Amino acid sequence: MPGFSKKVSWILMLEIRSGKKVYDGREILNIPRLQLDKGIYWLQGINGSGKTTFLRMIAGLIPFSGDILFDGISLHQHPLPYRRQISLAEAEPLYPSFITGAEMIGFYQHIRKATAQQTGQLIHLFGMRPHLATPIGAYSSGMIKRLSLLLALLGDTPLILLDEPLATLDAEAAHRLPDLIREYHQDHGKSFIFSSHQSFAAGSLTVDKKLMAASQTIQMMA
Amino acid sequence: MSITRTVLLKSLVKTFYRQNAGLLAFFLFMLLGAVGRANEAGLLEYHYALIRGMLINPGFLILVLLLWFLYAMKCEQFISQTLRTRDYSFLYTLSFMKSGKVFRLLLLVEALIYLPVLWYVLVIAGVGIHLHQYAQVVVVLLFNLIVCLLSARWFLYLLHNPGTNRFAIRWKIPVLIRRKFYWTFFTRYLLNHRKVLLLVIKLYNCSILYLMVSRQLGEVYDLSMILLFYCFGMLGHGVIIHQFRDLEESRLSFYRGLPVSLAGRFIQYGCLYFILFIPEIITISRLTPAYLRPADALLFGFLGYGLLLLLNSLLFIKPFGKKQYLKIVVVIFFILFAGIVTGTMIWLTMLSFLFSVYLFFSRYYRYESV
Repeated sequence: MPGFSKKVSWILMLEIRSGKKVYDGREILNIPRLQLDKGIYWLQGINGSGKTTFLRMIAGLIPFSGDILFDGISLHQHPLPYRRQISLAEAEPLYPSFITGAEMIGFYQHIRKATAQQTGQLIHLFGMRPHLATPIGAYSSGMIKRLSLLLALLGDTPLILLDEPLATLDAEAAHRLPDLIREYHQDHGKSFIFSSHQSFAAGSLTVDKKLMAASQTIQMMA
Repeated sequence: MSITRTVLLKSLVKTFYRQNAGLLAFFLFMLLGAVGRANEAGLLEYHYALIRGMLINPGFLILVLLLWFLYAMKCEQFISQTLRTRDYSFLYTLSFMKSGKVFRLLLLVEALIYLPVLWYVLVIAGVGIHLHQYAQVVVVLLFNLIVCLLSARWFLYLLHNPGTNRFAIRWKIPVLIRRKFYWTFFTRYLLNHRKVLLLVIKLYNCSILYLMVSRQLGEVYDLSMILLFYCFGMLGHGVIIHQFRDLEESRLSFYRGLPVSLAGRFIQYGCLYFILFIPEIITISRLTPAYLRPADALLFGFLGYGLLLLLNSLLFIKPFGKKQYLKIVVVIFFILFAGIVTGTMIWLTMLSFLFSVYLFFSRYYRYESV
């Protein structure tokens, strides 16, 4: 797919150093050290185990103590270059109801510097074209989910975080998503961390490693 | 009280007053607080003179009717928007009840959210009868009765016709602008959802500024009282700014994760508040140099713009509820009052700019809404 310029080498990608998140004095996550190579990761864990918090920490959406580095770029010391490397599709995305899908995509396209060709292809893949001129307030939850996945894939970010990507998606889109992730990973060297309670369609996606959110921390599963 | 009435009052009336607490507090202060103190006469004498003016001067009465109409439009906007939200879609079940009964319930809802106007109308009627201005009293009473009846009838129509949005005004912003700039999310939010609030605040601030400054005559050139009212109007923008931040935290939270520099983010807010400040800039320009010295015009301009930026940056310290934020705004008002009395407004203006920049850059990434 055009629009990608760099090939990513298979080395250490993400490093979390003393990452700690506390809400109202209660420790939600404490990750002394976690290193992830490039690849596809499936983040598992029960409800309330900190999966979403973990993904939002990596995406730089919430403050926390400690640091996260992507290819040696620190989130806290270099927030702008770091944010160029990562994008997130949230589990329950919310956008202003009065904005149309086309406007939202145009905004992301401008900031993420995505090519018109890539944008067009993603619009086609997610079946968004008939809904582009419609205000997001009139979208179904499945359509909003499609839009958020499209926005996360837009541009040239080497790491894409997907929080419950299958939730509210219809069968057709849910079936197509693993193929898309595999294509982005194999052909363009993109890495993914996704959380999901559901497993992807059997055999359609090879997960490199699994991460487990439990006991207020995130660990690599053997 | 019937369960239907209780649900309606809780869903519509209570929510209306909760959402518009800032705007109503602003009006209340203008009618009872600031006006009474600004005028050398007492509060009652002031209102008596105001009502007498309405009843005797047809032009003034038309202006007041127009303001009431704007408030009625705001009420209409609120009800129609609330009915369209998913949380309140259950209210459409009312359409299964007898129309007459639902109409009476909706009339009660309209009367309650229109109450701030209605109680003043009663005072006007009393004064009008005392002054033997019967025709004007009839006009005032009839106007408000028709507004209430038509509004209730319109709400009934909305209940029977879900999704109707006949009075919506669509504002067109060039595609290139609205796709590129973050500030356009907020301007569109204002034009789509907060038109009346914006109009009221701008109308107050610009008219106060114009009327008070243009009365500065010859040797008497004292801006103290004007500055005080101007500061109040600028701080009134806090209602809008608090709603901006609500929108940002609920539906624009993705922006924090996008690769935009901190300076770039601040510039977006700078653009937003510059655009919001344009009516005041135009008003100040029209008054300069005939009524306002250029140095004072600059003070008014920088002070107003600095306060907008400060009100915005304050909301990055931590999530302030409306009441907490209002308290902070009141404290700022008293600091400004002290500044006016001591003649240190230039320093306070500079301080508000510096503090807004410092707060924004130090707090933006540390802020969390939960």
